[in-house]
Amino acid sequence: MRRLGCLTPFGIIAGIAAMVAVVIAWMLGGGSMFSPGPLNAQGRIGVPLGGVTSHAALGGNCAACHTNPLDTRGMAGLCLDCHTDIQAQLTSPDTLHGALPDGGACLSCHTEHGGPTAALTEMELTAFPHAALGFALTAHQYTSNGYVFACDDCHTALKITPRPINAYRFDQAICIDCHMDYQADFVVSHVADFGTECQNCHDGIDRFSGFDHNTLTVPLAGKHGEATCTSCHGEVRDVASFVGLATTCVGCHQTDDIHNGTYGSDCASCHTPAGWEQATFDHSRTAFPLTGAHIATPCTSCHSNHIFQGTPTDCASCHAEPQVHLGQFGTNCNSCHTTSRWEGAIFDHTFPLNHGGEGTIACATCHTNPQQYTVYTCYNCHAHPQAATLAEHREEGISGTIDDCASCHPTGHEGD
Amino acid sequence: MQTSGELPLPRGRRPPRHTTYELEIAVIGVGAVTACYVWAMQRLDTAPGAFFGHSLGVIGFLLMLATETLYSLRKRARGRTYGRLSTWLQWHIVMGIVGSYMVVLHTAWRFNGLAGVVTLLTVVVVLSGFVGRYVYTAIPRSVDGAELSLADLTARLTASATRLETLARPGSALRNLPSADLLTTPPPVPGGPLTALLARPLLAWRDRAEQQRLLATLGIIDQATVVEIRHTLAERQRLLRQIQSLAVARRLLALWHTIHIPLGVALFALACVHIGAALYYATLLH
Repeated sequence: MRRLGCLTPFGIIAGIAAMVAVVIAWMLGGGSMFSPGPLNAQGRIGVPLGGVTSHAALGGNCAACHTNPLDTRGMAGLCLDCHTDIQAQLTSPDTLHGALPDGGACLSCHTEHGGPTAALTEMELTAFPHAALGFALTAHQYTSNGYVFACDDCHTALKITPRPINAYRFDQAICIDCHMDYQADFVVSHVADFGTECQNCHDGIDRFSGFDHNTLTVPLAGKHGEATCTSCHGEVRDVASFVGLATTCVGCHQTDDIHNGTYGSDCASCHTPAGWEQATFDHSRTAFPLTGAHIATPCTSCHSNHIFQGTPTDCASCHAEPQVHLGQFGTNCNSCHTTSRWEGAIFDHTFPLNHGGEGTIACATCHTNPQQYTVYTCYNCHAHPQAATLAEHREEGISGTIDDCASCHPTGHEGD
Repeated sequence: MQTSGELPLPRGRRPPRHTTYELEIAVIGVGAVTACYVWAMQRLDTAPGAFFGHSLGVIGFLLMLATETLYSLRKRARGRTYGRLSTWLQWHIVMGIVGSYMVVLHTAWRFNGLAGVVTLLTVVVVLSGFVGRYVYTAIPRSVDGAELSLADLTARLTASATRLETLARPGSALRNLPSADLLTTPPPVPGGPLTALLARPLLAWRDRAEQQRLLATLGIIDQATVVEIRHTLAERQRLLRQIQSLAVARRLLALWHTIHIPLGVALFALACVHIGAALYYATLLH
């Protein structure tokens, strides 16, 4: 009789032997021979769930996780029967599993049979709806070294074996530890300015790395660029507190106003952010335009104690008559001097010096007191006796004193 | 055992030898599967239970199942047959190699439990298949794959000797080489027929060297005669070796069948259990 294919006696015996071996293995080890790999042996500290401290302790009891095909709850139902803490999370959207759109579908993220120490969670971090938990991973796709972020990079408790309870709870100190590795100086000052509660301001979407204060109403020019954040923003601890600050000078510098409000609140009309001392006041708009040597004169030469209004404008208030004048020229300085310099004074003797037709006469002819050139007399020359001259003027109906002859006779002629 | 009574055909009327390329095709198939796997490693989950890994296992198993059943059926087919047996053997080997390779990839290098035993048996059966093919090819066969009997081989040997004597008769072109030199018998192999079978490639290489030595003594003759002498000499040497180890080869092939078939049956029985368990635990119990 011809046999068909493998149905030789030895073939049949081998087939039967294989099936017998399977039955024996089933009787000895349950379903463990069908296990695709060892179960995870990591437990959570001091918390037995379902009577065991790890999945590995289930041994060959496949039915502990694999439900009857007729059980509509599926394997996830058995997971939650033991993991009651996760069951509780599902009722709260503020928790890890409660925030997930399908937090009760355990097998979509969790796996098993990877070995005693293999991870029980296998999920692309980018696929995890982390933003639902209040912090998006938009800015945390890659580490500073260029590696793809893993869960335990931030949730460092996941690295601890056995894994502690609530290993996914996040400690914001991790932010600082990690960022200190590559931007220590910035982090130190940033923490000093804004504290350690990073997530009060950072939501993971915007890293503020391209933030430019100069695009705002108050650009950080001049001395403002040297100021610390807290100088203006104070103890800001959240994004909302950054806005709403005053944008006028006096809004911040009210206490710095040495003018005590004398000049109003338009600081920028004189000052720039380069510094208070670098004022750019337009003196030409005042009653005393700065010309000549006055232009380079420090403000404080005239304006002491930052008092600017009421400063006298006459020369003598600042420039006492010099000794060289011997007190002879009075305080009407600009009759001879310009503001460029004292030297080169231009004196215009309005009364003709060749009065009388005998050439230039000596100063002492009229200015009989050599200590007082502002005083003159006409009585000592010609034929102008004081009494006769006075009588003639009385006859002409001129009353009063007539000592200042040049006021009526600027050219020295009788008819003028 | 199927035998053939056909005699050697006269010169120029022998049917063309049917060359098979099972190893070349298998290498290409393995290369293609490897390329797909490398591509999938970077983009997909290649775990045994994932779609890609699962597909590897299913397709690989189906290929192995087909290679076992279809070739066996063809071997035992009576009456109308389809295709040469050597062609069926070629695809039996190709599907056996590629299918088992896919099954190994399906494991994702995890070899525990029943699945590990199935994988181990797969590798053993494939290696056993290579051994079987080596022994199988030591047994002379007709152009359609049927085994030749010792009488067939003797007849062919006689025909080749006659042809060589004709070529070396007095007055022919082979004046420098008497027929006695052409009809010499290769020295026996130390160790007997079993060694001759196991060292077949080495002996073939030595026989080719002897052919070259004889051909070098012929002097200047026409190219067509040289080709005929080379082919006739090669056939004579091959027939002598085959006759020498025919009995041993048949015994070895029978022994190999005794081992290979139970291994294969055990493999398929355990694979079916593995598939059933996978369907039950990984599909129905979700």
